[in-house]
Amino acid sequence: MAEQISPTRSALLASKAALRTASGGADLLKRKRDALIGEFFALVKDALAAREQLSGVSKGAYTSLFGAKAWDSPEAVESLSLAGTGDYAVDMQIESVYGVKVPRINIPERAQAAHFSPINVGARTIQASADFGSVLEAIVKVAATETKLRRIGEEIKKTSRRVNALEQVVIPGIQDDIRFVRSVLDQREREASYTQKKIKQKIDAKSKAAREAIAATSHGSAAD
Amino acid sequence: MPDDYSYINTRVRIMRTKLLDGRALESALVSGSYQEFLRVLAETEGLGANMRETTGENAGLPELDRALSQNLFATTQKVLGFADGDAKKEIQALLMKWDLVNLKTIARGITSGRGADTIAASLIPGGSIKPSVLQTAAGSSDLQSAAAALAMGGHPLAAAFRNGATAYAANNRLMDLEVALDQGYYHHALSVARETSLRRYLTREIDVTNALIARSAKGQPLDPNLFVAGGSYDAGGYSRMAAGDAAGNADITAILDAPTLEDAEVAARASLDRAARSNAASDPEGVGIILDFLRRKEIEIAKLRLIGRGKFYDLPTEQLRKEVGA
Repeated sequence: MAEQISPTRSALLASKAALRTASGGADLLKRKRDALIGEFFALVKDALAAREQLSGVSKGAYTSLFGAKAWDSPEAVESLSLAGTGDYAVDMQIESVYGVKVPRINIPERAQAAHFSPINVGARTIQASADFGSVLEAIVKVAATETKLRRIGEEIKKTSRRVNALEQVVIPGIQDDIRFVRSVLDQREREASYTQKKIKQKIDAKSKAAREAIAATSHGSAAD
Repeated sequence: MPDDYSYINTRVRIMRTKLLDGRALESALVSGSYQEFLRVLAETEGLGANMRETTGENAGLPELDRALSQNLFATTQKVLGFADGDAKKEIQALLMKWDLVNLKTIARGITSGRGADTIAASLIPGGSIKPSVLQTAAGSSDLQSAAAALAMGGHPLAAAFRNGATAYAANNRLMDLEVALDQGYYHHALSVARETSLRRYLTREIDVTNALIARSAKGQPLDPNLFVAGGSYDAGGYSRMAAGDAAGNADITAILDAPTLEDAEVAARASLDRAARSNAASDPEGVGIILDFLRRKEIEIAKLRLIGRGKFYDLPTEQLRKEVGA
């Protein structure tokens, strides 16, 4: 307990209200976590598919490059890499998944036509160029799904930590407070009750003594 | 000039004996490792001198590629060094394929805003353009300046480069510039070829090029701008190629009917190999022998690059054999 709570009835009521809020919050966070986990597993499937696609197109692209560099010469193939600035614009928007900001990337339609003359360029080089275009698309797709996955994963971890903090620290703390306040109040009640009994006993004893004194006085006068 | 060619062909015939024969290629193919492959190459007469760098520490495929390219370009320059006059022009026309690569590199570099150093590093020491002219063109700030540098150097493709630069300025399409260069190259080569076996070979090469473009566009409209004039097909024949009509030419039919683009390329390569060999046989006192030798050398280097990559990545020999034989 960080600080001693004052053992009053109002503090007890406040603690009970805090307990209800904390339990409600933990419940809400658990539901959020469950929803995020559901979203996470749905995305895992997409992420695995994107990875698999990247692996497949990369294998094909490197095989094409292998043949292209051999038959068309490495110099001629590497010269093609100078064409174009290498800029690849993607349309990215931010969307919210259960309050988590994740990117939504729309992969642009790729121009089918090459930017170089196909005259005097081997089929394998043209194939490699097209294949590496697919690799670029697959990389962007992997980046989009894995970024989403990472963000949601981080949020699940954060939510789990919050749930744990509520369930393991905050709620037990409030429950301890309630127990403490309740025990102090009970103790006070018992003390008050005891005091009242004692007072009553004293009053009773006094009145009994008074009655006996009166009775003794009346006996004495009758004997005289 | 037949006299020129008798001397050049004698020298080239000697050089042809240094090409890797089937046995040497087989030894390279069956070598158990990349290191063994390098050792096999180092022991050959034609390539041994270029292989030193490839066995150094941390040496890999770039060093092998460099060594093989150096060997190829040194061989082509040596052949060019034997020639003079018209013969030199004809051999230069063959080697101008490398000029085409360099000019496209310069054009690509300038249009994409690369620095002069990056462009210069990508240039190849082959072809017929003087290194100083190439450096000046590579350092140009725009395409017109590069065209002017080439024109100052007196290169035959300078006009094609200037026309391409004008086309690029009009529509900002690099492809138009490159097509202008390709078409300019064939136009120049045909003009140099006179009525020799070189013209027959170039005609076949142009037909094969058009057929490959038609094959790659299969199912899609054929771009008429990509037609290369000078072959045995006119523009109408080229457009009919898209529908698979080769006008009875078996080699072109094989390309157009190939199930994949790779198969089409194999058919194209085989057709050009046959054309080069036929020229060597039918024109022993002309450019045919040189043409055949240069083609054999280029194919030899391509096969060694392929085997080298296969050994470096430890690919199965049978897979490599299939690829090399393809």
